[in-house]
Amino acid sequence: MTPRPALHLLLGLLLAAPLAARAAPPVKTVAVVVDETVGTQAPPGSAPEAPEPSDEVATLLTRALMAAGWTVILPPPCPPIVRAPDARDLGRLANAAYVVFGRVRFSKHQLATFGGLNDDPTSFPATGVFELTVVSTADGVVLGASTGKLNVATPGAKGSDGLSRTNVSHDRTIHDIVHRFRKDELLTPVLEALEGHAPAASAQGGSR
Amino acid sequence: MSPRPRALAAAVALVASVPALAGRPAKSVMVILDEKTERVPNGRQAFKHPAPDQLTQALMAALMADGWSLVLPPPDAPKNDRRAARELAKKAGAAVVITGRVRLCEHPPQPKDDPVIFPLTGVVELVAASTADGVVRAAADLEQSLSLSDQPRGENSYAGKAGLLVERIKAALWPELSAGLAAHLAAR
Repeated sequence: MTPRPALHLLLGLLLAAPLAARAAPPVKTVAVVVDETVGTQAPPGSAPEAPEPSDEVATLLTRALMAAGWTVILPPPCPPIVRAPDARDLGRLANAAYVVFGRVRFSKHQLATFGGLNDDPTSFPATGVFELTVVSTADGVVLGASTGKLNVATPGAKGSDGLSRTNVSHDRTIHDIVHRFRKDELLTPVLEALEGHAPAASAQGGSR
Repeated sequence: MSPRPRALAAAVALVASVPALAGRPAKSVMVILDEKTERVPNGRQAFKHPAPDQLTQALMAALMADGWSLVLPPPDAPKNDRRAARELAKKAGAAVVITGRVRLCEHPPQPKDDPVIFPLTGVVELVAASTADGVVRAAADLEQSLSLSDQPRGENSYAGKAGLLVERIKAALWPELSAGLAAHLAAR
């Protein structure tokens, strides 16, 4: 073989390798794209602060999926995903077989405007809402969707429900809501949708 | 130069422009953490101010001790945006990006008449991902605090106590983080 064809072959292999890898994402790969913000409820008469980004729910999902044997992909930057076709496109771009996308909005409440806690200077209430959707990249099918409220079990009730442990800071309250109080509601629908679909995908050829 | 060598040279330049193919050092890492501290002087008002990147510094020291080369982010690097951080680190030539959010909270001393008690709590979430393919190698979330019983005397400031809390956070994060980084190296 002359040097020139050998060089061409090498270049071809180098250029083709990423494309070949992109063509067939492993079955248990998932991109997690959750648009999360934490806002602060402004006291009466003051201007509201701009919400700041957060990744509490994305981290919860990432850890749980990794523990369940999934490869989680951090996809490239993209506009907020609000539709399944957009999620499918992102899944292809990120080389992920599935995409979990959604929205989480938390709000830190000022004590003076949160009923029942006005007299407790050590309470830091926070509430939120979430919506999560699971999409298959191969066909764009929505495999599962869930929505709900994010709060402690019984706001204002100290003691048995563990709320007193959350009365440390707003960030701790949000952390505890995501990782303790509402963990199952956030995780179960996503894991069930993915695990319910991945075995069927495996049986159809090992990769999608 | 004839057309064929010119095309060949262009192809070589194209390949060389892709860091992943050009041989990005496997043990290079960029750390971008969004660190802030909230102060709660009386429980009814909170002032948030940037923290002095203590966890960033602690992690970078641990990474260097573990043989990693550091790629420093630009001053205007996007904090609190994992996907943008991955792109930035990839373009800067880092093989791994560690990105996350650190929130410390300074609480009023309890009991109030003890001038050397500086209660602190912290919440941290971070991920480490390979920049080439975006595969997350480690993800961690934790809460840590300095209780009243484990505050050594002598560090009579919130800043001094914050250093102690950050060391605890780093110690709690490190096993999972180092395992994830090892997985990144094994996958290459």
